[in-house]
Amino acid sequence: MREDNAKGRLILLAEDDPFISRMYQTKLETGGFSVAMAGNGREAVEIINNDHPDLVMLDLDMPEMTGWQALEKLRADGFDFSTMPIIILTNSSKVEDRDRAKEYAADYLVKADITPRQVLDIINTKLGA
Amino acid sequence: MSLLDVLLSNIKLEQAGQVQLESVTESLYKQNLNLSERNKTLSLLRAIDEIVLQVNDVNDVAQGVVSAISSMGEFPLVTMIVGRKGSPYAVSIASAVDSADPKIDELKDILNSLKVGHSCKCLLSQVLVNGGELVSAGLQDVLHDETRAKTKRWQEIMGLAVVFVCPLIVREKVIGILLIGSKNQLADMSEHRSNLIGRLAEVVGISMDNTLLHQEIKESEGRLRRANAHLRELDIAKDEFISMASHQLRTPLTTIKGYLSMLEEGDAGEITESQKEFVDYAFSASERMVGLIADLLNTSRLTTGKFVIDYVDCEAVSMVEDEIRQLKSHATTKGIDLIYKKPRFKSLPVVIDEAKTRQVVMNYIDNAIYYTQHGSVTVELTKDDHNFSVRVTDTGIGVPKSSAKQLFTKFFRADNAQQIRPDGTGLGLYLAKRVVEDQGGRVIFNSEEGKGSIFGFELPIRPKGGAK
Repeated sequence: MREDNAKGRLILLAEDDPFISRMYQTKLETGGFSVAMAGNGREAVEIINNDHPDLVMLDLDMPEMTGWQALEKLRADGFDFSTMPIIILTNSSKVEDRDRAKEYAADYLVKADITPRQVLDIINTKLGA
Repeated sequence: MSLLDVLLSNIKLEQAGQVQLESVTESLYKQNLNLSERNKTLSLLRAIDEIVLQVNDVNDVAQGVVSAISSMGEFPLVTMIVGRKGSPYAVSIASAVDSADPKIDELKDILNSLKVGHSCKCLLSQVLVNGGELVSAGLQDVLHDETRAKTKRWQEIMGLAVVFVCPLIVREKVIGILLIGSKNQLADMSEHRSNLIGRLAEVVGISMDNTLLHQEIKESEGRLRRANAHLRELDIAKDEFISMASHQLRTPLTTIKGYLSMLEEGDAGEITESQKEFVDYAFSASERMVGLIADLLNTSRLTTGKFVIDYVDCEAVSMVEDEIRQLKSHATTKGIDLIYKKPRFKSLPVVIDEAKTRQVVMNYIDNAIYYTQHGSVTVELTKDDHNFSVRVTDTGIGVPKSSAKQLFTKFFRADNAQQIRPDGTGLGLYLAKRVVEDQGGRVIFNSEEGKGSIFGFELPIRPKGGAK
């Protein structure tokens, strides 16, 4: 059932660690999603502007352009965040980061705390699948 | 009596009266002189008092005192030598020389840089070591000028008869020396003036002792303040380090834990029961490590004040069930029954700090399994109108009565717990109490040694005042 609902939905996975990236990609595809991959913030912004993904999974510490810089860039360009749920997936647990996520109505998850299955469940709930 | 007789006797009387008058006048004059000297002394002592009260710096006090003695006490040369804590020498810290003659400049320089060691054989050193009475000496003895040529000329220019070397004695200890150069020998002075020298040494000694103490206190206050600031910086640096290290540890741990969970879920194809069992053990261990890192982070944040409660919407039933599921294998391997008393309600939406509260539930269940050798661990979720509670009841070793009070304090571990698990951190319960109480809840604890324990908490379903 879920896979049917997920079919055709595009998730952007912005994550620079190739092992973590592959892990989530596998789980998302098993769950029936299409996955676009970005290794840094710049690529993420490009994909968001060109392909309009249904949801973004965003790492914070990425080379070239960080997750925060990507969000700032989008905001500066007038991006409407209400059209696209964002899940920040990080292993930093700075209190300031948590508060900052609220500015973009983004969910904030610590990667080590959850399994790919749990992430998939959260995405399904968010997308009403 | 003839007229002559009368006249003669009158003259005699007059003469006697004259003598009497003269003697009265003289004694009055003496008294007057005495009074004026006494007044001068009093003004000088009062001036010293005021300097000590109004000035804080040791050198400024010394200079003020020395100048006052020289000008008000009419002594052409005054120098103060004081020993400081931690220094083997007593050094001159102030001097006043009442002469504008350029030939005296060298003397001024010498007096300003006097340095007396306890081991020297000079007069000053002897006074410093032995204390004792004041000594009068020539300038040549004080400055040990063997040729006497220079000191003799200086003495002449300034009209100095003698230099008094007065030990400054406080609580039977010599803290320094006051050199007072006088125009008169001790023998040629009025009793009052000769007493003044001793009195000055006494007053100056006490004044300088107080000033030095005051300065010492101020200095150690400053040192304490600096040490404190440094400790605070270290705390912040430590927190930053732990924060950074946690981040670094969590990244590989994410990969380990994530792939293990996917193996178990069959994302890499079906696995056998025993493969599943092994993977499960590895997964549980990775979970525990995630928990330890969180404990470390939160403990460090409690010391730096960065520990904050982050309220989020949370489903309490699935939170408790998740934690039970994750610890099932730990119980199974120990042969303990992990029992879940299912609540009658299917769902319980609450507003809590989910990450920290999960950690508390996990710590409670994990501890219960660790410290139970036989029997069971029962987890129960209940609620009333405003609060919900989680209780973990075990049939384990229990908590000795003597340890109950300290159980929730940082790093504390009861003796019987220490024996079973020597590597515990002593952080779990300490953090549990903070996490629960900072959310306006209370810790539930009851135990009997040898029979078992109940650990739990009661939390508001949503924070009081609707904090979000």
